[in-house]
Amino acid sequence: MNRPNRYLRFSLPRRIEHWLQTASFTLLAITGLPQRYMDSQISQSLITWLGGIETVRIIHRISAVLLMLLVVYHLGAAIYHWVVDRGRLTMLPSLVDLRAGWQTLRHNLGMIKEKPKQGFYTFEEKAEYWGLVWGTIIMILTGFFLWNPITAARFLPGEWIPAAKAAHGGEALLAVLFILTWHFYHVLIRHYNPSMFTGYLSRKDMEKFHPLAIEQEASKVSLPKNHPAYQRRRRVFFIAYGILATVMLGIIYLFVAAEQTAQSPEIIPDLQGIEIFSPLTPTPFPEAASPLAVYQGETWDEPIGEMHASRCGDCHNIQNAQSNLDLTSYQGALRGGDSGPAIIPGASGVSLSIVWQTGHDHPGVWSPLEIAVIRAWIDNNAPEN
Amino acid sequence: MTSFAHLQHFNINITSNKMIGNSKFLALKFNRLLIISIAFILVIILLFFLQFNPSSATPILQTLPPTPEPMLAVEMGDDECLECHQTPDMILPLSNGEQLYLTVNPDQYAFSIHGREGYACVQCHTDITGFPHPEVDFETAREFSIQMAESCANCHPQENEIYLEGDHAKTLQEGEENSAVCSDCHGSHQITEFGNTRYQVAKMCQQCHSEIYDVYRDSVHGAALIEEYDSFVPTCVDCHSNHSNAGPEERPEFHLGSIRICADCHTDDDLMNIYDINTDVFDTYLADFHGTTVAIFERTSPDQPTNKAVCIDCHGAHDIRSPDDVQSSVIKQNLITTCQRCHPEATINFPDSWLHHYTPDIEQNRIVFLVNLFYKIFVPGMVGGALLFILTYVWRDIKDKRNIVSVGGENESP
Repeated sequence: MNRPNRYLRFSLPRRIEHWLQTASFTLLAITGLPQRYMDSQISQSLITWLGGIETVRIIHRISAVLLMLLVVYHLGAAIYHWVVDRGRLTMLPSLVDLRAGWQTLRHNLGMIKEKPKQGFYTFEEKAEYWGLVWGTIIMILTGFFLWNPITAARFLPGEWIPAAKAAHGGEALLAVLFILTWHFYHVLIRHYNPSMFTGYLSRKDMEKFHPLAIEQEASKVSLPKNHPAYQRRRRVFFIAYGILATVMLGIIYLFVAAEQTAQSPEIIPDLQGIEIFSPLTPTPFPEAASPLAVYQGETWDEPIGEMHASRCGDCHNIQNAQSNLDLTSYQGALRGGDSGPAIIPGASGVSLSIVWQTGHDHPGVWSPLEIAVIRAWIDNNAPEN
Repeated sequence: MTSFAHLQHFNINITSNKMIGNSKFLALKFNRLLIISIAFILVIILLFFLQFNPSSATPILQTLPPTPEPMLAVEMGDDECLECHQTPDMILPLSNGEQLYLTVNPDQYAFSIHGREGYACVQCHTDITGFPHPEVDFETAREFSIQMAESCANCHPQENEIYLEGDHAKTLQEGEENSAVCSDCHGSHQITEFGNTRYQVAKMCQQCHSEIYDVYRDSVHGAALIEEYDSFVPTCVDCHSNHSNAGPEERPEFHLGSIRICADCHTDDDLMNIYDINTDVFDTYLADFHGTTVAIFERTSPDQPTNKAVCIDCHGAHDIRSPDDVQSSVIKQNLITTCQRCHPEATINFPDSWLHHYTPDIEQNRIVFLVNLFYKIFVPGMVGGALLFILTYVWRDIKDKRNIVSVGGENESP
């Protein structure tokens, strides 16, 4: 309770709310930012330490549910304070705060001597609070899109989902940086403020930082709790808020249970119904033991061209004609490359397709039997078809 | 105990803060705390703004170590073997009714790498020391091939070690005797040092995997290789590797790792120029939903199976087609069906939640581009503004403290 030397700033439920909010925020940040900055070593270590990405996402979602429940609670507490207690809406922003901010800036820079007098919540604190409200709204909306993309795409263009991801990440970064700078500086660094731990601020600090609040407190009038009018307000509040809270809890349920986004695919769809081991024919016997081939009417079209294309075509094709030689067509083989024609009909002894294969420093691609077949074909004037 | 000590520490801090301004020592401590805190905050901000590059792709095909020297001390010359084995159509009937072909073509062997390097028959056929040969200890021709493969390991231990990591070795050990051994791919008496061309590789794999070959032949890669002899498109071993061959059937990590296989070629500017294909496909994939998760999996738990889509899940693997092909699984009119394979409830707007491999700009994915642009300005604007404002408080506090100290000093000196 307020004593002459101290001033109650945050009641126990408020403090509990703040620390639950802190827990949810921290968990969301340490499970969310590593997903956004997944290339960083820190993120990878953090994800591994937390038990892998699937676990990280479960933690993120549980924390998100906690955050949403806190919103439901906070709305109730704020409405109760306003409607039942008829308390002052000390957190509402106004032009006075803008002016206070401007004057503080001028005071800091030594342009004016006096600091602005501020109320129960200073403009610094209001900036923090409304920043959090804005951030929470954005995060819940975009979070819904990310959690339930199929449901979202039923009503909205698909592109809104990656846009939600961009906003979710940008807003997250902003929220974390704002807490680390603005909030930490004001409550921990510049002036250590114990009221979120103990609930109280010393009267001296209260007079220094919130002079208007003390003036206002003197004029505060409230009904006793057992007054019939107060009791009636309470009843109305609980009925109305009960309905509101049910709706909000229903929305949270939707959030969690609306869809199962992805199901496991079957392995490699193109192999469905396909036998992995499907041999062409029973393994044939190796070639007979006689490399002497007799010309049997082979032509370029069948099978000499195919032999050249498959064995030589890797290096000597139209797109990639090493030594300007294309062996994938009959004309190309006759025209030849830098060293001369590959095929000279009737003259296997000087046809480079044979010469290069026997005794030259060129990858050998023909077996002796194949050389014999090609030789026989060339010597029979290398017919195209 | 510890928590209690912690609380006590807090109390001390609270009281010490109250006494600031009375004591120079505490003021100094306070200043240091201030500087350290600001430095800490700045470091954290820096860390989050830093951009990290995705690690580069790893090579897929192993390069083979040099072949060892021939073993020279041979007790039995080839002439001795050929006396019998040159005979045409020499056949050994096996107990299961199969016939083992025993004729060797001396010219063919002489042309092979082993023949030209002067290796003798008995260096591979190590159980033969003369005639008569030892009792046949295999019942099928297949068993004989599997036995003979052990000979290869004698001279090619590194290749064998890599082979043992592969799926062929794995399924062979599990009892699948059709699983390929050395000679199934390399041949036996006719091995050359040149290996197989990319076309021949596909033809060779077809010997055992003809149904997959048929699917592959109709794909954009297969058609280019088989019909146009295009040597830049992937043949079987480019994706599945050669000796340590692998596939998703046997290893979940292959599924995850397959993105690097595709990226290997599809991020290569020189190579993709030939076909006029965009090389941003990998980076845009990594930036999108599936890719981000897959990349996290890849880095933190590569061996854990994931249901997040990789390249082949949408594009197909053996049956991959050009995205302009009407049969392509990713052409606009087929995309929703492809999405529904994993997201059965997806409706017509859903495919657009994927950015189609585009980097958001003012033309493509304008909303995403604008949101990104907004936060690129909004975040530094807000945080920078907050920091500047904080600096003015720091400035004020330092000035005020100096005044107090100097006033105090004047009071003490007289």
